[in-house]
Amino acid sequence: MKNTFKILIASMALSLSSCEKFLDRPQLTQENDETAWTSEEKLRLYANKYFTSYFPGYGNGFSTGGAPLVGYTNHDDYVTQGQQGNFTRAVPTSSIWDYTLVRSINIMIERIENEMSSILSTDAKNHWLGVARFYRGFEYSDLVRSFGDVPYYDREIMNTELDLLYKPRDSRNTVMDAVYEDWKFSLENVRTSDGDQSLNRYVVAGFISRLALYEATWQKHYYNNNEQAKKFFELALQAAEYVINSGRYDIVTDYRSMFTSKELKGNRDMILYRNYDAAAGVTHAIASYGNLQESTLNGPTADLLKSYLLNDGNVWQNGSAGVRNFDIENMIKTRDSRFEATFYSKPEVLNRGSFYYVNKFLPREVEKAVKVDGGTMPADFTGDKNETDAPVLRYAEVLLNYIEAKAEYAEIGGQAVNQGDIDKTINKIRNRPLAAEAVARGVQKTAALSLSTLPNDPSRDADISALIWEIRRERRVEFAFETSRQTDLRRWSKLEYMDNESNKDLLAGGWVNFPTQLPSELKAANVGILSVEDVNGNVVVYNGSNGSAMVGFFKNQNNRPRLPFLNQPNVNPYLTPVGITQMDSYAAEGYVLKQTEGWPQN
Amino acid sequence: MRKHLLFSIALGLTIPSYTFAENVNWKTNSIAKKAYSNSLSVQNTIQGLVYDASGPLSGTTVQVVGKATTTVTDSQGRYSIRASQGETLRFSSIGYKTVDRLIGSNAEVNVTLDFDDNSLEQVVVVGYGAQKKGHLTGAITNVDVSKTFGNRPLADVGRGLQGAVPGLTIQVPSGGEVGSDPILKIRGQIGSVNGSNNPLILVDNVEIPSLQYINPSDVESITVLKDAASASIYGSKAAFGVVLITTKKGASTESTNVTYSNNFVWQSPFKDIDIAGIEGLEYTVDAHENMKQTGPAGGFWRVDRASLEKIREWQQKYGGVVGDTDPLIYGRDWWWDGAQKFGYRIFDPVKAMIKDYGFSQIHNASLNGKKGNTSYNFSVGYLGQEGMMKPANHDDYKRFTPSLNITSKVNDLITLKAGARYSDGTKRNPNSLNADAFAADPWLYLYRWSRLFPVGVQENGQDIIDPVFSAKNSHDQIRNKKFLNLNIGTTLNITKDWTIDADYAYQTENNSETSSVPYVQGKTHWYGVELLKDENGQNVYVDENGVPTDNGGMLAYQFPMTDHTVKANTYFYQSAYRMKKHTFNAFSNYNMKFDAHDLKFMVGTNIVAMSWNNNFSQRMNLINNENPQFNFATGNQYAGGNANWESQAGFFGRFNYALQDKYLFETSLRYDGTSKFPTHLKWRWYPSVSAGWVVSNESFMEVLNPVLSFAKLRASWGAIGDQTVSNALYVPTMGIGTNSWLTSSGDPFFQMGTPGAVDGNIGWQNIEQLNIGADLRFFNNKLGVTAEWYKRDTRDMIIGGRALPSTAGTGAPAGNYGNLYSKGWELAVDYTHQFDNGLRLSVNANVADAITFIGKSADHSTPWENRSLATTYSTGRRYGDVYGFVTDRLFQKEDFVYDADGNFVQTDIIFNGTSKKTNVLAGQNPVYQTYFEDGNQTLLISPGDVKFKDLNGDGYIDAGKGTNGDPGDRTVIGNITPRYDFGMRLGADYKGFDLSVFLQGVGKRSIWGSGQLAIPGYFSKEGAMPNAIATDYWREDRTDAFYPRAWNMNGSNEGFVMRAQSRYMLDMSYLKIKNITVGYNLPKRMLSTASLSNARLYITLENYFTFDNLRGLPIDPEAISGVSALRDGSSYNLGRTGTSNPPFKQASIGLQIGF
Repeated sequence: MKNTFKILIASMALSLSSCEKFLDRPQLTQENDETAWTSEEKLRLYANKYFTSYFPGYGNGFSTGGAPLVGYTNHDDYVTQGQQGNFTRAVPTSSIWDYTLVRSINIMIERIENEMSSILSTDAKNHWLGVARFYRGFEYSDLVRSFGDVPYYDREIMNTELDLLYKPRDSRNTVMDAVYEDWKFSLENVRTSDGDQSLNRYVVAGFISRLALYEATWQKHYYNNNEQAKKFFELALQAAEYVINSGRYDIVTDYRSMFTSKELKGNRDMILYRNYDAAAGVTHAIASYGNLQESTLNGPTADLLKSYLLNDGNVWQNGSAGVRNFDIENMIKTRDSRFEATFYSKPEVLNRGSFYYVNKFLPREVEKAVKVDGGTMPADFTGDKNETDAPVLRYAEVLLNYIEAKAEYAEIGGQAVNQGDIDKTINKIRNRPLAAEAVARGVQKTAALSLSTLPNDPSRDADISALIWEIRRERRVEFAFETSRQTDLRRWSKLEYMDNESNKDLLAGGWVNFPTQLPSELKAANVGILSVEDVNGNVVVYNGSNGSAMVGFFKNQNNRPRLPFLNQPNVNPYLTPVGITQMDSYAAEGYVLKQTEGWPQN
Repeated sequence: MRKHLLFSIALGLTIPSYTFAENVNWKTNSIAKKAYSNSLSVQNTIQGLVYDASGPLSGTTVQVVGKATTTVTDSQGRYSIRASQGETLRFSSIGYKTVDRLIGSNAEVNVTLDFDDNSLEQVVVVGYGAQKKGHLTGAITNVDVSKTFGNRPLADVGRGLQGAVPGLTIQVPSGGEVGSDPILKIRGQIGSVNGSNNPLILVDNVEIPSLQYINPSDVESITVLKDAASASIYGSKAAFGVVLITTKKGASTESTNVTYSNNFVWQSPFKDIDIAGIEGLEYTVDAHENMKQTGPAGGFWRVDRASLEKIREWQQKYGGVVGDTDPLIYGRDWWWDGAQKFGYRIFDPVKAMIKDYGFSQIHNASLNGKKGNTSYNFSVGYLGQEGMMKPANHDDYKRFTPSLNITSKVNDLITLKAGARYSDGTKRNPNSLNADAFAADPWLYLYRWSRLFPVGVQENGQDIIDPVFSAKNSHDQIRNKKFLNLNIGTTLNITKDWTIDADYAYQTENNSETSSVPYVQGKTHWYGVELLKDENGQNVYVDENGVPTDNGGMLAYQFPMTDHTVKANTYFYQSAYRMKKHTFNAFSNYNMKFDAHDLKFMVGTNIVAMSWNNNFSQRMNLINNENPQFNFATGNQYAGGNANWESQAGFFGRFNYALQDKYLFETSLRYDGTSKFPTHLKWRWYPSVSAGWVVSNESFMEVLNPVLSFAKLRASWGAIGDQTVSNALYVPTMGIGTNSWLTSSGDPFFQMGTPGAVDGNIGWQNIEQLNIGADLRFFNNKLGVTAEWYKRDTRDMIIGGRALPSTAGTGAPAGNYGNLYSKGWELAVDYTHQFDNGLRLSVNANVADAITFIGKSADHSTPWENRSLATTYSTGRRYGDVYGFVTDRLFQKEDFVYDADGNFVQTDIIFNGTSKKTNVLAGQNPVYQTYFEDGNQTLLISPGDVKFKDLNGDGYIDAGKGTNGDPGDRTVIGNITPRYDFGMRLGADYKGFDLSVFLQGVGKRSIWGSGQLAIPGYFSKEGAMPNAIATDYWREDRTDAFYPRAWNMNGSNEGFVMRAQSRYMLDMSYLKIKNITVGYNLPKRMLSTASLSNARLYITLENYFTFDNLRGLPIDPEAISGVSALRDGSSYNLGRTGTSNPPFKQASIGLQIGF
């Protein structure tokens, strides 16, 4: 009995002493902040997560955030059946910036500097700092584009630093000056090559040409701050020149193929693309949304269709009577080649908004197989099973960024634009190869733009020089149904182009000869709904017996204009308001969250 | 301070007890004296038989009172013992009333023992020991397993316990999903935000991972420890109560007993699943028109007034002529207008998808006995259950559960025990063909599309993609779970009063999952159509009956054949999970008894170490649809896995003291350590104390006897640590995973996450519970009442810290900052009466309630009035409360003002600075609801819309700021937690026949539902809705409808006037007659000829009658939206209420025989 006691006590003592070790069982399969910053390989893993945040391409699965065609449908290229997209017209209950990525990137920068100095070579350290600072600049330029002034942080803020977390907004210029320094550093330090599908200096420079141009034009047109504008025009030009002068990229692919190719690897038009592969489970739905089987409520406005140049380089108003008309078959032959490459060749009821169907993202061979040969839609062009690769940054954009920056800068003291600048940018793009199918339809390349004989466009905005007007037109046509149109209007201070009251063409769609092209639409149900508009804006409504008069830009009488957003008190469509909840929660903590410029504090 | 106080109380209870002892004529003393006086008498051998109601009773202890002489009855109920005339024999057996017999001149003494469910002498299993029921001081419920489980066709112990224990809430959230675990909660639905909140389930003192691993027929007893004082001895995982299961052991007397029982079960849906037909299509068209939308209504299949007419015509013409599975014919059944299609034929997805009858069976066999010093129990159970999916290749669950327990007495000192328990369960169900499989499986589609969608039919000899097609073509998803528990142990009987037990258990869980997606083609009607061609490639023309015409007629179309799954996405997948766990328990009990004092001491240790790992492999591009294997897949291959480990150690002691069976005291202390927290916070002490006073043993209470035959008052307080949280809470982890950015050759990049903000000082959550209870028995113990009241505090609860502004870029780090508390009560009543003619009736009933309040949460620094109503865990909030508007009624035509032409008169209403044009309301001071309107004449309050009550009296209806201080016109309109759970069993037996009826229910629970079965107009464009909605919505010709005018919510659970509100909350209270059993025991004389020891036949009806308040919606009131065995979390089938495998009712017959 005594022995039993002894054994019991001994075993208890033993187990107690070994318990600390027994209870030491940390996470087995996760890195943590203490263990992660020990090699360049892990640092690269950390940075990899930013690819999809900043380069969404065609999105993922059915999620189309950041993707063309369906991600950005509220602007003057789109008419929607029914109610047009509205702007925010009242301070929302809840709305605020997201600093998740700012924090994440700041942690990366701090850890590289504080913990990895002895691990990384100077070159590697500067490369990764350059990568992080590029993303940080990207993030802040997105934040200021949305909110104007925002709080700026260049390090991780701990949860105890309440005064910093609740600090007032820094001015947009303070923020962008810091971004400027980040980008300058990136342009000098990011590697020119860092492996397949990874960030390199050309990608960085290409995006800086875009983002710096955005900032510069905003400063010039919205804030009228020419000093700040110059600084960013120069940065945009420097970045674009770096890409152009590298000679790595070229305009060699026909227009449609860039958006419909299953393999963009090695394509010289692409500075960066996103690869999709069903075998890896990464697919998208963008091609399906324009596959000539899906119906859509959004289509091109008559306004956009009018902006396509004749292929002689002139505007439609200046063309001959036979050439200027908007019948789709004539448009294919007489307009800029990108018209044919962007739209289906016939009016199509599947596009309920406009009857012109956008098939820019559908391969020509699929279109032919289904529409001409009467075959079945391949499964990888239905649902979210699309595998076509997505252009993320095209060389053409850098060229257009360059020429726009140059032309805008010239107006406030920069070097003047010369014909050589036009030739290496706009004219290079116009000289892009044509697809064989397009040539067969009679499509021709558009004549070069000449500085001395710029088109005399009667519809030109009087505020804008003829050169910049043509540069903006080139941009609109080149990027139609992609992602940038509304952002462009904002930075040009031209959201008024979206006002339905002042531009009736925004509620009209494609030119349709109903009696010959879509007789099925001349039905009783469409009486009082279907109408057409001629080139001068005169409207004829279908009354059941005037079918033969139904030739013109299709206009659905049920289309409702955007609610007023310009010159409204306490509404600023250019910047995003913060929400009531957020202002209240700042107040509850004893701080003030200032409302965005142009919006009421309470 | 608290400990000091407790110690004083303890002293106060122990010290005076000695003074009492002097005054009491203690029973054992007097008996001992008497026995001494008789010791000179002549000793004889007394023998006889012991019976119970059903025959000879083995294992009954026969004792000469006051002497050490004891024996037990053998398998024939015989005994023989040496005793003298004048001595008393005491016959006792667990579960029976003890009988004393004075020995007269007769050497044969036969007795019949009566059942006694509530014997105070009954020994109840408690933590690391046993305790007389009369001496219990905590909130402990002992379950009468044989009565509760009876001969019910139970798949698991959880379903069997539902309604049996007050305070143990059991929910079966997807009752039709065979092989699914029910959810068990003791005393309230939530005990902490981050912890598991689940009770600790122990089988023979070792935790088991799932109740599916225990065959209900192997269970000997179940004790539920509800308060902290009784559960605390189990420490670190017992914070939310303990379910102690002990399994059947070998016989106590030399015998060999073989038993066999079975159930054959027929099952069918317990509730009509009534999906709207033409009425639903009308709703869709009405909604479309009410929303002033252009063109026809509906989505993939259009419907308008004209097509509705055609649909009715079709019914007249072909209803009853065209069968459910007859092929789809263009022209007759549907029509393409060039851009969209219209359907004319109505299909029946319910009939196509749900079985009329399923079949299940249960078999149990056991061998139990004792030979020499070794006793054993060996049993084998088999469960084969079918689910209700008709077209599935397999929808079933099978389980095989052998178990063995052996006990061998080596000598007087040492007894060795060993056991093995194995469970092998396999669930098979169709693996959905969708990419994100069980986010939307075929069941969802049964309830998703309008009845214009073809189901279960072909077109031109080829299948059409529909839920039947998906179910039929899906490969099986096969989940196998193998559980093995091996244990060895010893009991050392050092003295009569001192034992030492040491047990070691080794557990493994080996789970695997196999699934595959085949390459499947079918005709699809989601996209466009193609022209129907004849064999010569010529277009086909048909008339309106779909009959091909030679001239005239319309161009015919058909649906294109498409890949339903892309070849590159097809795969074969296998995963494996391995867990092993070591549990070591050692404890020593010492009992002391002198004079009137009963003392018990216990010390022990409990050490647990567990680790698991898992891995999966997948290879894409399956080339063999019939035999999915890795070797028949030729595409990309993927692999992954994970691993983790944990350990706990505890050292504990307990002291019990009872004086004169009247004053009871217990205290325990446990020192707990866990691997989950940083080193300096790993260990902690947890005390508990409880006391009881058997008032009825006081002399002044004797006058009330036998009306009040027993009364005990008790109170307990205890603290337990909870550590059922992740071991990563205090570590800024950075997970590595794949990214959807691909290399140019199509391989995914890997990425590493951003470290979160953490608090490095995360430690134990401390749970304290105060319990006050009373056990009362009346009328000679016939009627018993047990009542409990408790308050459970979760202190130092791990919650997110004070909310940070979004500039922080991360959530606030979690820490032990919060607290919550639950309060509740439980009441149990039992009554038994036996009539002179042998008829016995019994009633057991119980009811319980619990509510939980959040004491301190992340928003505690925000003033009360600014705390958001949308925060689940808001400081001061009652857990589970739903905020919403209060429905007044529906607007009628006369509520509006009209002009001379009968049009609405409109006005501009300015509210909160926004002006909206709206219809003028009639009457003085009308309350406007422009808050819900768009100011654009579409969302416009009109007759048939919901009229709300103006709670804040400001003349408008709105949601305010959504805070406590400004909730607008919202208030608490319900609570999602089940309240007033109740259960009741009525039993009767007479001459071999017995009947039991078991009812179970929930008195109060309401939710704001999700999806098309719950929300009127949820997605009227897609089209499916319950008939209960489609036939009871407001129209001009149906102004007394329950639901408002038709609307399309476009897939939202809230919108326009269909916001969370009192009238359309789903009332999930219910009463179910869970079981009715009629049994018959064959008489002994018939058995002996067949050499059987017993035989019993029974019929049971399980879940047969349900009474709910859902107004005919096809939803199980037990359902929890989005919770299913098929998918973790609550996102099964998009989280939509009631869209799972339909729960069933069962009728079974069975037989039980013993040899």
